[in-house]
Amino acid sequence: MSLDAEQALFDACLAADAAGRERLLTGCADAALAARVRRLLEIHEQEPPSLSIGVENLSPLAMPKRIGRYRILERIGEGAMGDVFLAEQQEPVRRRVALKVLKFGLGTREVIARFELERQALAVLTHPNIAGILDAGATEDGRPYFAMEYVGGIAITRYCDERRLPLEGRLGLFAQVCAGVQHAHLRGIIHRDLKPSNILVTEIDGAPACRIIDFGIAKATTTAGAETDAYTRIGHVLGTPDYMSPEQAQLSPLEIDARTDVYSLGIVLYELLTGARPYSVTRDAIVPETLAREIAEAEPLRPSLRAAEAGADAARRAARRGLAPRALAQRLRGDLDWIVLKAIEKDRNRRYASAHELADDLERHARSEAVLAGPPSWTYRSGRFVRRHRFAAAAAAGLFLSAILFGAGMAWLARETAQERDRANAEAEIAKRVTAFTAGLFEMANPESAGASDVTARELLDGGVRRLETELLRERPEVRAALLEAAGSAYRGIGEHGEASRLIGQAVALRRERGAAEPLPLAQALLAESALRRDQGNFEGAAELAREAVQALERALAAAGSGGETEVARTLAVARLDLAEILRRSSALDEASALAVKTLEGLEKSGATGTPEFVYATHTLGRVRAAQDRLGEAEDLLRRAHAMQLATGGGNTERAIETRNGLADVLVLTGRPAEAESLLRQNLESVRVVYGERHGQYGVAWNNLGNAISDIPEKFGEAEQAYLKALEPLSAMYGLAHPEIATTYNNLGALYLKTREWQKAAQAYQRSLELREQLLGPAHAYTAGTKLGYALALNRLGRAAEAERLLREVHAMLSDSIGPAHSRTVNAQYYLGVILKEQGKTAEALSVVREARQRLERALGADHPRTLAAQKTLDELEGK
Amino acid sequence: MRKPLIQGDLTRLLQAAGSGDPGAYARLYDAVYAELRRVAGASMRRESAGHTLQPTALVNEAYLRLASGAPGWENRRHFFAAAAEAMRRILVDHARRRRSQKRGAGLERVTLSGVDVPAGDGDVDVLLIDAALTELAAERPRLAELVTLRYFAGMSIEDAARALEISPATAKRDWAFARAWLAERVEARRPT
Repeated sequence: MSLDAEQALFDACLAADAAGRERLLTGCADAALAARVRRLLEIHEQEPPSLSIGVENLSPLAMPKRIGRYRILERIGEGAMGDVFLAEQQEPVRRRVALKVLKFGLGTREVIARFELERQALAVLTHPNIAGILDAGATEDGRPYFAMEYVGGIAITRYCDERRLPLEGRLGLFAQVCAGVQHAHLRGIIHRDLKPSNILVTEIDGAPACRIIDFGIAKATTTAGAETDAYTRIGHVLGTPDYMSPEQAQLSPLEIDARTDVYSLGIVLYELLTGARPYSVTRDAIVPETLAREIAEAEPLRPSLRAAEAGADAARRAARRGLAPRALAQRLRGDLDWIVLKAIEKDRNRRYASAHELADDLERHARSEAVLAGPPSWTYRSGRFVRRHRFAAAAAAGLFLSAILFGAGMAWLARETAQERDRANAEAEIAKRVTAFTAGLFEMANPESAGASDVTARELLDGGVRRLETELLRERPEVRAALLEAAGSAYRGIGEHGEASRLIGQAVALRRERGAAEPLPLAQALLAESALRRDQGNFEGAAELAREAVQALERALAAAGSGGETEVARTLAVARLDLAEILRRSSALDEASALAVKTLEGLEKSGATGTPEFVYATHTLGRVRAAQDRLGEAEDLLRRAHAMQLATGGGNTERAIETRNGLADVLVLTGRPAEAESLLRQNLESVRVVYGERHGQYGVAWNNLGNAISDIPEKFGEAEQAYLKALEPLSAMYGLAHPEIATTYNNLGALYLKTREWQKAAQAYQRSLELREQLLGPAHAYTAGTKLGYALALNRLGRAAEAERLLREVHAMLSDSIGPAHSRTVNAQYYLGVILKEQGKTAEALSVVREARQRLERALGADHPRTLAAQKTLDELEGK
Repeated sequence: MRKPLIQGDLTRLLQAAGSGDPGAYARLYDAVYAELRRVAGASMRRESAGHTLQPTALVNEAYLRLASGAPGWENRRHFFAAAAEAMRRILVDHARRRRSQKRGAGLERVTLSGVDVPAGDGDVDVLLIDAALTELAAERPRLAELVTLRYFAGMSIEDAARALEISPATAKRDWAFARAWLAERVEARRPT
């Protein structure tokens, strides 16, 4: 088939109208030729996709001299959508404009067509608070651009903070914003992407004036209908989802109307008033489902409560408004709280219908008249609570039962160990009280609300705690301690760490008062608090508490003499193993090893082989050996532990699951990922049976599976899926902020580094970093590890300066915490050197890499791949 | 190592190529190739990873620095013809190199020592486009040349038409057809 014939028919078809084209094609004697040309015409209509992708990957580097009829003066911004340039128009009038040039891949022809539809409407936008769009077109290489009035201002939030505007000033500016938005709404134009960076403030004769930019752009760049997936919508259209309304975030979005802008305005207002956002939204579009759920479900904190938060940060935010935090909270409480919350209602039917209505209510507030907004009703709120916590509540039901049993067990235990007759009576009394109390809870839980049993369990817990803290305040401390601990552990189980911490802390305080007399319950309480700290990733605190428990039990055992109380001895074994486990996770391996060995030997000597403590000890020593890189021993120990667990019918227990996790780690490290994968798939099933698919542990199991296969290039896709699956139950159960969620995002980031998807890697790491800084603190080793990954991703994205700054922080942090010679510290040092080298800072790079190489050699040996890599870098730096 | 080209040299080369000196075009090509490699390398270092080169921007940059002093359309035309070919070779070599690195990477841990431009489907596309272009050149060299000028040197339709000594209308038709044809070919061969 000749290309000439193909082109001849193709050209003829292009020149013809639709009917003519059809005649040409059907009339063609060569059917194959006609079919091919048909296909080519189709491609031509769609703009050849592959070619544009090829060019898309080659992102801008040099600044263009000219775009359309505009002469480019400078680049003034770079965003998710593209670049913004300051440009000059010479004809018909000479003026400065802002040119927004979109990235490739947004379908130039479509964007411009949609813009053309809106052009007439946009042309009638003439309002002092709106910067008009002047023109749209395509650059020579085919990217869409928009020209708009140039506004040389700064973002409204920044302006207010820099000028330390008091609330009145801020509300005044916000009224201007509402006026501009309302002007557009009355002409049928929705902005769809209102956020501080689109609301600029300039000063005219010393008075601040707002200009809203980008009207019409979001509409033109949003593909209507089902063909856009949520990734595209969220990723391309909006740089940040923080101001996005629930209906926009939905996977199949509703028709957008003015209330969408009201929502975004509400978030902006919240930020203007408090300096913070109502809730934090995942800064990525990795899982649109998660994002949609977060936006739909995240419960905004009342502005006044946000302002009243403790800490230097809140004080700084209040100071920018010329107030102390308490005064700011006072000022926001009431009207302003309700106005903001009404604007950001999830259900748009409950929002203000227009920007005008919102502005009016603010106006009423200023005149001290009654506002439309008011506190939401209790039934409405509890309904929302139930919707949000359905899965968590289901989990709470089971946990609460075990908490009750645990409380009863405590009382029983106390009775068992009681030695004096009157004390035995006292303990019996405790048991009775505990039983009565829990029975009371069930009475409370006998609601008319049939079929809502999962929900009431959680409410039970809340109700029980309220009673504990009021009616039972004069109860005996032992009773209260037992109940506080039980309730605290139940909260811990559903990931409510704040509440768990408060309750268990109280239990420990009560137990401490009587510590010397009752070492066993004290130790139990301490171990409960320790487990909580461990969950929170606070290993230092966890270790301290476990240590205290160990010491209390050791003293008790010594006092009891030989053949001392078996319960104390058993609890001591568990306490030591808990401590060893914590020390292993904070990398204090020598001490962890000594403890585990000592416990295991002690149990063997006393003939306690085969007891649950013995299995736990075998497991713990196995994990410690693995951490020490003694992988052969580790495998042997873990396999033995697992065999004992299976033999005692405990294959589906929490500990057996843990043992399989440890064994899988060893298998991955010794190059047997296939076996590891099969163990972890088994674990997934166990977890599903034990906890159910909605439990956080199920997420952890997926995460572990992801880890096991994340080194196998053919399974990168599967690993990604595993991590994404992990996030679902984790966020369903734990809400948005939990160490395990941070871990999964971190691992996802590491995976994206391997697949060289730098943008996604940076997003995942950023999310993890935010969580870890918040949950573990900035100095934690995990936080440092995440920051390192984030820096590597940023560097690949061309943000070398930021990467360098982060790596310096990581290096300093690790030098402080684990010492400058630790292999992880040196690793960070080496990467810092590499980034310095890439930036041409050769002198500093040389000294950093040289030191890192020496330390790597000392820590890992001269032949270790990392040492060799450092040597190679050093050679390059020295010009060898 | 080749010393950086200076403007006078290039002007002479361009004039020689313009006057039909058969060796001059080859020397011009070599010179432009070396210059583009140098500019590309510098940009990569400056921009670091994540930002890939935009070939047309590089070619323009090289042109502005080297040849904007050289008068006349003929010079411009020869420069861009040579630059487009050179750019194509640079991109293809680059993509091949990176693909082989990726294949060999295996269980590679994440390190920074191999920092380069980022990977992505762009590699595949560059190589597929190159293969398709070669195929096109066998049957319709003028179309392939047109695509090379537009795609790798960022020439406008009008300039490309002048360079190929065809009418702008023909160039436009050729471009539409060639683009669709290449896209179809690339799409068909793209690994899934």
